[in-house]
Amino acid sequence: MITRREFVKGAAAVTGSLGFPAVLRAQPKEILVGETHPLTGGLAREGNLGKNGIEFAVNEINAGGGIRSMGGAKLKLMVLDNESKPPVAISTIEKLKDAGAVAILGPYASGLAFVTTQEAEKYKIPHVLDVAIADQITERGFKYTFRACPNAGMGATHTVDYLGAMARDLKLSVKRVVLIHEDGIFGKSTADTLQKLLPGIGMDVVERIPHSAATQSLANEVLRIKAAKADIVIPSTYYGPHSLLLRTMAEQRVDVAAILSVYGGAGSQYRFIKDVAKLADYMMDGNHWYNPKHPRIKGIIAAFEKAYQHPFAYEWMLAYQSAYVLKDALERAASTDRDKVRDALAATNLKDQIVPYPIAFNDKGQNPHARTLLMQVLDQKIVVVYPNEFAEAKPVIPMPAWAGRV
Amino acid sequence: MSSAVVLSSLANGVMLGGLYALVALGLTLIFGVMKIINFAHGALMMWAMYASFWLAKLGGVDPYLSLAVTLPLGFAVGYAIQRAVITPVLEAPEHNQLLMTLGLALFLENLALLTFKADPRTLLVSYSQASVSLGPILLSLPRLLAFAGALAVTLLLFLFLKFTDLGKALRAAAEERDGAALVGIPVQRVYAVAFGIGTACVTAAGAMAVPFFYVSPEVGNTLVITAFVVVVLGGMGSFAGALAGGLLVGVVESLGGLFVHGSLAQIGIFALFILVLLFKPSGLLGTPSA
Amino acid sequence: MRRLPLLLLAAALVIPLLVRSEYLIGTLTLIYFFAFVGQGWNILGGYAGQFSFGHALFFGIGAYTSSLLFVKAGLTPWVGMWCGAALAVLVGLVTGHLSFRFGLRGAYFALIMLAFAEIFRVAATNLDWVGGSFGILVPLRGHAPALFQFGDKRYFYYIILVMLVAACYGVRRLENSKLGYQMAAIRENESAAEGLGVNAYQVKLTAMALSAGLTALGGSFYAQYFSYVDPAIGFGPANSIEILLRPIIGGAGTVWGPLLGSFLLGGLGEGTRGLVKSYAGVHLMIYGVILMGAVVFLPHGVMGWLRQRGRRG
Repeated sequence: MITRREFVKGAAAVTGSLGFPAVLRAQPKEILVGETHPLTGGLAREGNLGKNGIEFAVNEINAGGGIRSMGGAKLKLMVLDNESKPPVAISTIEKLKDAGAVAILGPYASGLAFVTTQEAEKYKIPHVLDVAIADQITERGFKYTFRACPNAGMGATHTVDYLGAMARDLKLSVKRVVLIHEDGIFGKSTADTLQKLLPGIGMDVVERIPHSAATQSLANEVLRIKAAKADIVIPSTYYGPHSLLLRTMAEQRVDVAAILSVYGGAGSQYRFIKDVAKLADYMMDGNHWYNPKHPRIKGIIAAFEKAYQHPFAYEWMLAYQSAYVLKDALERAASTDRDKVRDALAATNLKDQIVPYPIAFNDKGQNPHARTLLMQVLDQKIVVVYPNEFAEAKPVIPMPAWAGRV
Repeated sequence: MSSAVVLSSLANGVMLGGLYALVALGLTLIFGVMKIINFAHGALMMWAMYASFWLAKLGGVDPYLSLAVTLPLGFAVGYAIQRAVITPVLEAPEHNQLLMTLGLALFLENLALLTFKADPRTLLVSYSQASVSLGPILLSLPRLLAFAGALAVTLLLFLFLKFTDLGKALRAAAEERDGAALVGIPVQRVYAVAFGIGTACVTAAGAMAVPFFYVSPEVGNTLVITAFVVVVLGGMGSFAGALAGGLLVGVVESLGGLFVHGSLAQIGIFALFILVLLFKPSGLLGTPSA
Repeated sequence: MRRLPLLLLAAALVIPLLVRSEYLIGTLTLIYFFAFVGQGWNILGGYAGQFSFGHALFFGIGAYTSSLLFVKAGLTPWVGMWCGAALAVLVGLVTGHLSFRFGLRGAYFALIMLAFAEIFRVAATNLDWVGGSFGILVPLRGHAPALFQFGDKRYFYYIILVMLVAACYGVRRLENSKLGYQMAAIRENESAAEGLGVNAYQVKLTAMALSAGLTALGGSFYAQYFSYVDPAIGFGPANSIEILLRPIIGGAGTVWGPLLGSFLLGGLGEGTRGLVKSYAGVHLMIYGVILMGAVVFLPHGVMGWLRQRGRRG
């Protein structure tokens, strides 16, 4: 239990600026918030989006008067690059601990989160995750890990619910489902969950096709989809293969009623539409998204776009949201004591956030109210089609044949 | 599994195999002439892919057309690398030669990571989704073009080696280095040409692959391992071996992927590699040499 | 000069007691760690002259074995690591037998080791009972010394330091033993050595076994230190390269080589991270340049250069 901050002269190579909270004061001027994100390496794009999201939120928070319950103390970010590598991620937590960070935000990826939450638990520093959906992260009995967004299992469950609702509402005669997934933990566990749930909405999984995550060719897999006479194709995979799948299906003229992904690697992302233009139309994806009915959301998206030249992306939204979750906890804790902040986080009860769900945490640190939405690309725009309370447009299913439009 | 599916897969394997053959050709040429195993081969191809990609994205030039620029550039880069980096280790113990090209690969890959970031890039050209129907199967046009292109380059290379003076000098230097020097062949320059041509081959392969592969800094890694397997299979230094090996690996990979999913097929490729190394290191088509 | 090793050891022993920075302790621990696995590689690559580009094979076997035994059977990694080493020695003997019996040398040997490592990597990625592409998360038990888990990094620091010193001592003894001379003879000229009656096959196989076992012990340490291993970390080519970089740059075939190399590269890595904030990938690029430069200017590594100067002076 940390009750005194230790004064640390940073080792020569410590990056970032150090806050010097020498002694616990009742009213610090600045609260050091640690952040670890992949700013370089394989996940740099998403990591930088997360960094921008948090920076954006922290600027808003500070401009709005900081933490009132601590005399207007401002949040000071210490951002460290974990290079998309778990061992480096561990060393970033070490550095943040040395510097006296009150809490830790990040690290985007599940693979990184496994180790950062572990380190944070060792050092008893509250860690609010931004994305990092792997179910097991909150299954280890940790007390210092908090995840506001839905996990992998919840995403699969919601997407199946939406698919079922869509089939009912529109009286669709879709039955044959083909799952295609990357053969790692994300792909496999999502496919397992889907296989269990789909019969419940009256659909048959007629084929399950794993593929190598690093593949450059999905020609064989698409041939199998064609042979299986699929109505719906559900991919759970990363950006490259997801994009490759669509392009190969288009080129081989494999028509289906819908390509509907769960946490699709290329789903719900404007950069995909930029990459493949018309090919992205009609693609559906169950994923994180904002609440379209939130009064401030348009303004926030516009302001972010202005500041960072980037349209909406759920990576920055979730990071932004995590910063606000921390802010709320700091307000209620009225202290920079890590354990008090942890207790405040555990008691979180936020409503009307830009995410389409209230935020509270169960005893595992997971937000049980979190959910994904179902989006579709219509006319090169990503719109919410399910559930009805958030829908911006009616879904188009079955999607028009490839031949007519690419 | 219908016959159309198997035929389709076979066709895909052949088309990709042609590309593998071209990549392997560059590697085997370098080995045949200089006895150097170029670990940086994949990294060079990756850079060529980025070059084609950016010329297309920013300049609107189709990768096949930009070959007019990228091909000579690839040759020049290869030539320069040979002079600057390989020449110092030509007489060094073999493991130092390996380490040199390994260091080069490390450098090139991470430079690309720094410069271009890690996100996979896709290039869509006007004919990206076009296909040619051949009976019951649809052949992807970009892949078909790449196959044709690979065959064309291979043919050109063959003619060059067989009929031009420089080509003959290359073959002479490959067979007997000191003898070639004695009869006045500028061996150092010939080596540089060989490396240049090897790099040009892989540049061509990269450019032609851009319309259907996605480009990222790691793309070279998987390709270089496949190229090694092809070269070892076909015989280090064997032209025909690279061709046959490329087609074989392409077909095995593709058909294998129909029955055995994804990564498991990779184990098969590595196992094949090991078996060939153990039992017939001169390759299935290579001639045993000292 | 002869006291230098003792002075350095004394310094190493005392640093954790004087320094508060978790980050510095962690960095040094990793430097010792890479020196340790580098020393493992050194036995086969530096002393026996057989360059392996796939030593992650043994590293991964060590890391996976001790972790799996703990997760599935509750066996403490203190015992599990020796099981891992034993398994690695076995695999080393098999791959060594295949390679050496069929006369693979130089580049072919380097490549075949890479191929073996890749097979293990792909297999580990596809087998669910070893965690698939996700790998193994070692369950945390807090401060549990009997289970090779510690609340304070300093324990790990001392453990790897002891392992490193033991390895260096062992290699020094090997250097001056009959086996060591035979290895050197093979390294310099295998055919000539055979002509003198050295059984190259047996010597190389012995070197392989020692090398494999040591590297595997390092793998187990790593798994406990990070509480995590996956197929890429365990068996990946990037790991194989990291393992061989230190002894090569420092000086293959010398006891100090792996240590020098590890301090140099480790210091450089952290230094560039500190200086060039948003371009942390730079250090790998620099490693590539250093490797190329070393091959040309320091073909026997830093140790080779130091010895040359010592001879001249």
